[in-house]
Amino acid sequence: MRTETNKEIFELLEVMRESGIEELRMETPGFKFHAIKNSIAEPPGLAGVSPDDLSSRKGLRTIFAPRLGFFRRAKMPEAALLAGPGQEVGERDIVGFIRVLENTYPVPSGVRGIIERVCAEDGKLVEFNQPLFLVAENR
Amino acid sequence: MDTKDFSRVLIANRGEIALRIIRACRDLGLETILAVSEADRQSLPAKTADRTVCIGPPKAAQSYLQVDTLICAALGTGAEAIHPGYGFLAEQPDLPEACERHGLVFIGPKAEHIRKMGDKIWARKMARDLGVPVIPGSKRVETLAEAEESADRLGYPVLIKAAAGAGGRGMKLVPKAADLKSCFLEAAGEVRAAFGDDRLFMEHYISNARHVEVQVMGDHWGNLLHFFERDCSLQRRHQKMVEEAPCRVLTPELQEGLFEAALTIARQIQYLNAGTIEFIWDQDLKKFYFLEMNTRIQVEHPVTEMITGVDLVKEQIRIAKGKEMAYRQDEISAEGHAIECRITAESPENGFRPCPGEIQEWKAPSGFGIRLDTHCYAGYLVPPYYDSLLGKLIVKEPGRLEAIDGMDRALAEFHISGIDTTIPFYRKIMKNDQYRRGEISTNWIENTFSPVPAGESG
Repeated sequence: MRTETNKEIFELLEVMRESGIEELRMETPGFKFHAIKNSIAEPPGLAGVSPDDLSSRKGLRTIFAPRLGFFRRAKMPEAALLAGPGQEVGERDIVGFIRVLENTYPVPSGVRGIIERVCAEDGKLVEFNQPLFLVAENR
Repeated sequence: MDTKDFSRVLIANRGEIALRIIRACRDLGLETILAVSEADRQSLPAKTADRTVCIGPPKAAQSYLQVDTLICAALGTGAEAIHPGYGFLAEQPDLPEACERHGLVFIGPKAEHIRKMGDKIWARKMARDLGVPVIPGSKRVETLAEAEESADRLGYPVLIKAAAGAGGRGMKLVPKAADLKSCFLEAAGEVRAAFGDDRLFMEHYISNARHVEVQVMGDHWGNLLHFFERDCSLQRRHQKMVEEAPCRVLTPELQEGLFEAALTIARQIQYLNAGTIEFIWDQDLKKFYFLEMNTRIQVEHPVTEMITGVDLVKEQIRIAKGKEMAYRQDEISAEGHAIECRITAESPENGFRPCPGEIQEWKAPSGFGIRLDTHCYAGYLVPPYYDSLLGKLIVKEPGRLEAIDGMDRALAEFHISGIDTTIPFYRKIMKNDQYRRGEISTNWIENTFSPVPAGESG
């Protein structure tokens, strides 16, 4: 690989990462590029989530933390939990919140299905991209 | 919170400086939590820290520049102090202010020090009021007419500078009157976007200058010390490339004058922790002028450490814990000559274009008097999201010429493949007779290795 093309490749990968593009093929004379987005990447540092849960079960999707902060399963301390095992969720449903100092950010499900497992503890710090829920997807 | 004892530190930085801080903490028996972006999860500092915490996506604006996220990361991991390193949030007063609000110790100066010295117009006035010479310049210039009037008074060439700028950012050189309009309008647009503070001022441009800076450090016990000077004249597009300590052109009297001026400025604001007072040395008039103060640990701090034997990062931590510095002024002496080359992933043959990518081979130099501060290794993927610094190669020998020869030998041994680096460029500098004779200035690289390479500086 020519070093002068590396930056452009990184830029292409960044565009892919930030967009909904799942696969990208490019071919020019003397240059071929093929990248596939891994939709269930295993993030590091996951207490209590076995790799089997993440990779071996067909149709299982992960809801990741969109930012670092304290995970809240309900908006207020005494309020009902927004999502738990066995519960059906739609793509636009809010399944939890991330609290960062004085600000609270919603966690949208982004997937339609049944929640199989809650992977993060209520009130604890979650890192960026840490799995919060495993969802059996309804296609 | 100004000071308290602590045992766990969150490091809000990456690359070689993150590793440097981790090592200092480990020597002092402190636990380290490293804040990493997604791109740095597998970095050497991440593997070395006691724990990492992923703070966001690769782009710095969404990770290393997020004050609230870093504070939250510290609180959630039980860290009691934050070390900002250099760059990113190191000179943003928001971070020490947020630390104060949340009971965390900021390992650095107070927010007010950062804010005051970050305002170059204020800092110039303060230095002048204390009797420290400043480069002939203007107050704030708001209109083209004001700029024209100031430039005529100062005499061309002039520099247009941003009040909130630092390290060469937001700076425009105006060689002659015909260039003023375009440079002024360009500068005004750029600084507004870059700093959110559109105040500009002007200085006369000293063309035969050296950049000399004094390392200072203050503690909570009223001690304020200097750790001698560094010569950082070798720059490209206002970015330092080679730093040396000491500066060989200063007589002992000039050196003492420089130290006194630096301490006078730092004393005036009761400065705390590590800082650097930068000066311009006019080689024609044999006069020095205050330039600005950097309120952080500098990239080039190792050359000072090499000649003084003081670990500046450990001293920063001691100060933040409220302890007295481990030295008195008369216990700090300078011995030998140290040179640092900033090795970057850039292609000197192609206008210093950044060259991120995978390092295939990494054979580092070693031997007497050699120090390499780096986070890189064979197989490491240099990400494209951050500055292109791969490491800092530092050589110390008894004299300057011996240090230059030692650096050339170390550079010859340094073999990196897979990406382009600046190593061959530094070898050209080390072999250059003018450089060896010390006949350099801040525009020496551009004048010597012309045509000036195109492209952005790193």
